[in-house]
Amino acid sequence: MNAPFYQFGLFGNDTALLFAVVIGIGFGFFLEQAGFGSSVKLAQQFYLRDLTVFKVMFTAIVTAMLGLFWLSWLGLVDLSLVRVLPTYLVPQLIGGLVFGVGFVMGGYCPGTCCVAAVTGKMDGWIHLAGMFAGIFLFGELLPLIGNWYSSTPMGEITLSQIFNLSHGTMVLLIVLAALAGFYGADKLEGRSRST
Amino acid sequence: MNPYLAGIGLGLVLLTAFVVMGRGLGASGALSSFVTLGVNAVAPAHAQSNAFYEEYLGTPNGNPLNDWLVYEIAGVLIGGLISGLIAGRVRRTVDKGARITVSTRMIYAFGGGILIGLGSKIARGCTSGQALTGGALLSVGSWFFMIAVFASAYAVAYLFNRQWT
Amino acid sequence: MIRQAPTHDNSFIMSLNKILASIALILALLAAFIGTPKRGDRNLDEIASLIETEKDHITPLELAEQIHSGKKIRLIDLRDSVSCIQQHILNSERMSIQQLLNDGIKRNEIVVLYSEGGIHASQAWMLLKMTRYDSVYTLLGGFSGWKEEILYPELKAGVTEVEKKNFERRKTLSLFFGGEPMVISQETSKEKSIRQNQSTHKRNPPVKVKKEEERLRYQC
Repeated sequence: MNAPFYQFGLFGNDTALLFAVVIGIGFGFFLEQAGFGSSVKLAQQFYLRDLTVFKVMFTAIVTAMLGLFWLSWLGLVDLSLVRVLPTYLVPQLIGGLVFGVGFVMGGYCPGTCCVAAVTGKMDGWIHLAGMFAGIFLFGELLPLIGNWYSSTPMGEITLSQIFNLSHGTMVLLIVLAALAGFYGADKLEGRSRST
Repeated sequence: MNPYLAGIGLGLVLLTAFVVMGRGLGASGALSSFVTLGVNAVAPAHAQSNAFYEEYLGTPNGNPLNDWLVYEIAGVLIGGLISGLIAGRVRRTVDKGARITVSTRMIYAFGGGILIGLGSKIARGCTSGQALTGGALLSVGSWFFMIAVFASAYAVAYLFNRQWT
Repeated sequence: MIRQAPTHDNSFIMSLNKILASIALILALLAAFIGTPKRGDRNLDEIASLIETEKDHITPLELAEQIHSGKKIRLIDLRDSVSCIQQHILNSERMSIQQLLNDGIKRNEIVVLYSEGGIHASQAWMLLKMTRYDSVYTLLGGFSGWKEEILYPELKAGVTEVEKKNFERRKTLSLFFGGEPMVISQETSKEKSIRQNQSTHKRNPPVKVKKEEERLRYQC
């Protein structure tokens, strides 16, 4: 099978854009199904009262990760044609720190904010406006911080390369960590429900 | 929905994107396209001489909306609405805890939004583009981003406690 | 608030979760055992075999025949702009090797690469093969070979009937691609190279163009 299909030229840009909508529908659907259209629910994660964010995120990561591994092993997907994101260590760390503050302050991330807005949450609309402002701010600042923004590049490096483990072993470690996390999360939630 | 099932659903959507397109999901990128559209409409010369807006314009004075993520985010709106309608969660409301006013919530929402917008651009992605997509691909920077997000969120959560309960 | 006893629903969810967790764990353990999933191997052996069985290239005559019979082939000119402007193969596109590698072509297109003699084309071919472009070929002899075999084929005096018939075919192809077939009785090599050089300065082969964007694509 020649997958990723688009990389093998099996369909063109117009179809790709149509497919984007379809994927987006699935994305938005499951985000809302998880209850992520609500900032209150999302924020509970950071008070250890409702750990749905952790559960959903890591289940999704594990699912896609296992899926890619096995589809590649079966020869159905050519992993070398799936773009690994390039690492810029310091900017991504700093960006993450800033993002984290914004997340617990605003109660949304970009994707969930869209879901919230479309289901009527006015705070979602305001948050959206804030995000536009933040992005605009970045655009204006970029000429000044451009060099820093591209500092500490490490290329398309993966965890298995950093730890010198095979892809499969890395997958196992992540799955084990996730399962342990889920077990802990369930326990924590049980405890907070009974108080 | 059982969070694990929702997670599997989300993961399968992500996997499908990988298998069909060779790329993952995203959200902040689409928002950047909209910002670029606005800036280019108001001040095209400025937009076209700025590296950030240039990237989203594509060709000089190109259409930033002609982008995979823009179409994807349109889908997100549709899918979110469908799910909300099915679950009866579509209602004009302000989501907040009982202990603060609407205006306070709005201020925090706007401020939080600024930080999210800024943070996601600095990190070259957000929870969907970096954490989910990069996470599944075992990309080092993405995992660092994810850990940083959780760490700082937990660290400052106490500041906003009143807002949420 | 007292803790509520798990309902029937709750315990179903719990067992479902346990099943999912077990599946994930098994898949992960097997993954660790396997180690590396095939990442899309560089299949060096396959590439080597293509070279040895000469399936990596196409001769000018074969190429001319295929294009003439309407086969959809994308011709990529890897020479510099000046050479291209001077003369190029009908309907070819000029690209640098970097442009070629950066989504210049798609993996499901039939592509023939050519350079002046063939070295650059072969190098580009190698890079493309190693990134899973399955239907790329080089033009044997490069543009030089194309000039000699297709653009300026010659029929010398004193040839057999069969060779005369072959030449008729070559003449058709040559004219199709804007060349100048020649019947010569006798010509020194000096006269020949003068003649060929004069021809290159005359004009470019006419470009068959449908739309504006295709016209832009074919510019040198």
